[in-house]
Amino acid sequence: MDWDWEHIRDQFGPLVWEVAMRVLNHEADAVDCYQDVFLEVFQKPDRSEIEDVGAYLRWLTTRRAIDALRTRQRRDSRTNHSDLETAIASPADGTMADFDELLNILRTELSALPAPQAQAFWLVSVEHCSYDEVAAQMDVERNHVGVLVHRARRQLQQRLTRLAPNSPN
Amino acid sequence: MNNSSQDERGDIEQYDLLDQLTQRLREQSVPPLPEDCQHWVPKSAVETQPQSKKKRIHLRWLAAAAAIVIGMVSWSWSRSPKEVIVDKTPVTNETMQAVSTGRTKHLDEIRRGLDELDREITELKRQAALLDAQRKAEAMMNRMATLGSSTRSIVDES
Repeated sequence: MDWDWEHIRDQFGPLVWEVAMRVLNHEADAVDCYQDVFLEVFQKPDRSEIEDVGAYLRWLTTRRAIDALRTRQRRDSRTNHSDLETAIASPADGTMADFDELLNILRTELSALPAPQAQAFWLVSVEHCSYDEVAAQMDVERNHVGVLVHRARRQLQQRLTRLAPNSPN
Repeated sequence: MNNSSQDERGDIEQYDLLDQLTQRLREQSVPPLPEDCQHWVPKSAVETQPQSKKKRIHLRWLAAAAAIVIGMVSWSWSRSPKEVIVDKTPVTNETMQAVSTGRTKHLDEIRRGLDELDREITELKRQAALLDAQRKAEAMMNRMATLGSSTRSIVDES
């Protein structure tokens, strides 16, 4: 495959950007992730072996964005679980925090999952990739993708049960 | 049984919530790709760091340097004497004599003050001893009066 970078940027740039933004929800971090992903592909010695550039970029962006999310969670010492627990429900009337807060909690919990589980969950549940696509990118068996997604969902569900015993309507 | 069915219902609700959240993440609107990313190609940045990172690092260095400079300036400002009075009067024998006389005079005054203080302390001690003696005498008189009245009542009864 001929790697015309301007063509690749024009074709897949928005895809990389959207995935990075969805995971990170932070423009400066997403810009860093966008550039890191393209740099990594540019410096990859065996990039001619990539069959599906779009799927590869989607997986790589998810992976790097989750790494960045994890770094950000570590860096941001102000955001800890107790803060989230106090943020999720207002003590006065027991009403739930709004959906945006829940999305941020989901991101936080995602960054706490083992990397393969987080990647598989995100690609299947949010990016709507098929198990076969994810298995090909992660270089694992198709069934193993199912196991990773199931474990991730189970853990996230348990965390949500603890943090948000009543889901918002 | 009841608990387990409640747990199952809770699980289903949380699964529903998780699905709703992932769906929201999928559908959430994303701001457009920034202008500098639209024209950015990795070829131009391969030997350097990504531009935004580089800028951020430069800014951090600049902020650190500015903080150091401000700290040093404020420290030196706080250390510098605010007003320096230089007495350029030449030191003569008369001046030395005057200083010496003045110092002796002050020392004498202090000594006198201390002597006076000693005297006052002695007087206070004496007064305290008197007060103590007076209190003791009063207490003894009270006891004697009590004894006298009780003796009188015994005598009267007998």
